[in-house]
Amino acid sequence: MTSSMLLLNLIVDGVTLGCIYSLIAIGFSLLWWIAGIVHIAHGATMLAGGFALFAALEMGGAGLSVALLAGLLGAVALGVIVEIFMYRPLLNRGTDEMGILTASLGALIFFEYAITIAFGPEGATLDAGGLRTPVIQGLPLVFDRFSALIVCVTLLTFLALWFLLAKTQIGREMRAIASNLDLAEVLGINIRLVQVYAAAIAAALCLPPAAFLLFNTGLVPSEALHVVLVASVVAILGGRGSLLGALVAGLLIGVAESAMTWRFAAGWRQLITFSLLYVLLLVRPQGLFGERV
Amino acid sequence: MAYLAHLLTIANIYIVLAVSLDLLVGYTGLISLAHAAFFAIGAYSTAILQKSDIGPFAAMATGMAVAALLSVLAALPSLRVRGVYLLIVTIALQIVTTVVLLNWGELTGGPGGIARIPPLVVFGQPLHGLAFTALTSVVAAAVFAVCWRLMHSPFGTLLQAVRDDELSCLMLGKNVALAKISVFAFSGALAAMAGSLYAHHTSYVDPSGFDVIVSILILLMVMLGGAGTLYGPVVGAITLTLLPEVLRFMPAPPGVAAASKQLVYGLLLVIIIFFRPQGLLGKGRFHARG
Repeated sequence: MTSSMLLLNLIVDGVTLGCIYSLIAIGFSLLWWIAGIVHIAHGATMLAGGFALFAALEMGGAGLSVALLAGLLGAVALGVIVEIFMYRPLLNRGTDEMGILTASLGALIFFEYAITIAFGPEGATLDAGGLRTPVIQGLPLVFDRFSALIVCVTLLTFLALWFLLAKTQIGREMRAIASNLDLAEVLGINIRLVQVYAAAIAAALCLPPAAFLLFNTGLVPSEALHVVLVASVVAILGGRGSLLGALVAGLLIGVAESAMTWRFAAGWRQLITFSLLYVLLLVRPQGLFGERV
Repeated sequence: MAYLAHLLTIANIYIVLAVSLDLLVGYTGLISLAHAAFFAIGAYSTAILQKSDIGPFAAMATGMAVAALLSVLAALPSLRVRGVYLLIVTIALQIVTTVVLLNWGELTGGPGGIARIPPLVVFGQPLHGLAFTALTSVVAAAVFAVCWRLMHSPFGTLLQAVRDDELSCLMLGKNVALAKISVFAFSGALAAMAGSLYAHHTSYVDPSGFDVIVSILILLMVMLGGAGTLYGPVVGAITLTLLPEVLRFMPAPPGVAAASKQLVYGLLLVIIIFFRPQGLLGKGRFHARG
């Protein structure tokens, strides 16, 4: 394979990776925009969804659709539990951002190692099997069905989320809370309920990336913090309140990381993510698509 | 006895780490999860420079200087952003450090690390066991005294003022940027010093000893003891060094034992925020805003 062809393939790989990053980031961002919570425990929700899916498939012997439902339930259950039993009481007693952040970090560590104890430190991997065949045979550019599925699901998820936020009553309430909490309260919006919905939606958004990781490189508990970190970098890069920003930033980071391996050893690829973050925070802290704060 | 001396040495090293992190978290209200990175820089500087003939103290000083420089890099975004942004910058710095330690094989030995670091030689006398424990105790006490003095000086007062109301400090004409940068550099240099002592003590360094969970552990020591008190982190460091040693005698398979230790750290962080946000020895509300 020629060098430029390799780069092209790496970019295609980067797009799929970027889709996964965008999906993880959008759930994280949702709670950040709507509830002002830095949801570090989002990584734990993703693990819960992924491992519930894995347990149902491998240990419970369930079919894929039932297993996906189990994964969804696992993620949403954990997301809502963390919201109701941790964030809610802390917000009610006026704990500041740093306190909530620390508690969220603690929760992530707790669930990460609980899952390590239950499933072992190597985590879980499943084979995507027949989906690994290329969409078009014989091209030097390899784009398999699995990657096509990831791209389609990502676009559909973002479209659905855009519809939810822009066109439905609950979405309008969420945006109202995000833009002005006090005013939203005066207008009689049930803020607590809306934030629980937001937490549930954020958790549900964990399932596609968790499933993709499970069938791709594998889901490893110790990666949880790194996953949240990438999500937060995407969220910051994309800018607060911008769905399009999250999508573009996720793709940008995915492609950048993947293209790094063209010239450097794979271990170095995380370097590009954080270099991008560093430069951005120095010159444009509000993100690429965000409004000036 | 040798085991006890080892535990005390480790506790002393963590006291230096926790006290220096408290300068950032407790006094200046800047949260940081990069402390293990500066710790690593000190340890690896000593490990790498042992082969050259510049001597252990020059190696230690080099590590401190590099860590201080890198701290300043971490501090730069903190001049414009705070809270979650700063936290993420510091986690990123921590992870980049681990990436460099793992991948720059020629310099750092990669995942295998660097072995056979000689003990610290003071006045021609190599320090082992209790003698090294005594030295680290002196260092820990000295670091505590210096930090205490510094935090009760006008500089310390300025840091606390920055934490409580940055805007007012700016309006009073205080150089907030310089204060933040210097406290970051000072704190990073102290962590590197602890790292250098650690390398001499264990005679072996590898990346797993300096990853993000170590940063979380140091933060937990500060929060548990009481951020912004200096003596609180000392108590936190001692407690969290000795606690796992007590738990060691509980029967559990090795993998599970290690994981349950981390699990308890996570749980402790949540419990502290819920029931005693100011820490065991802290007074009033803990209010780091980062």
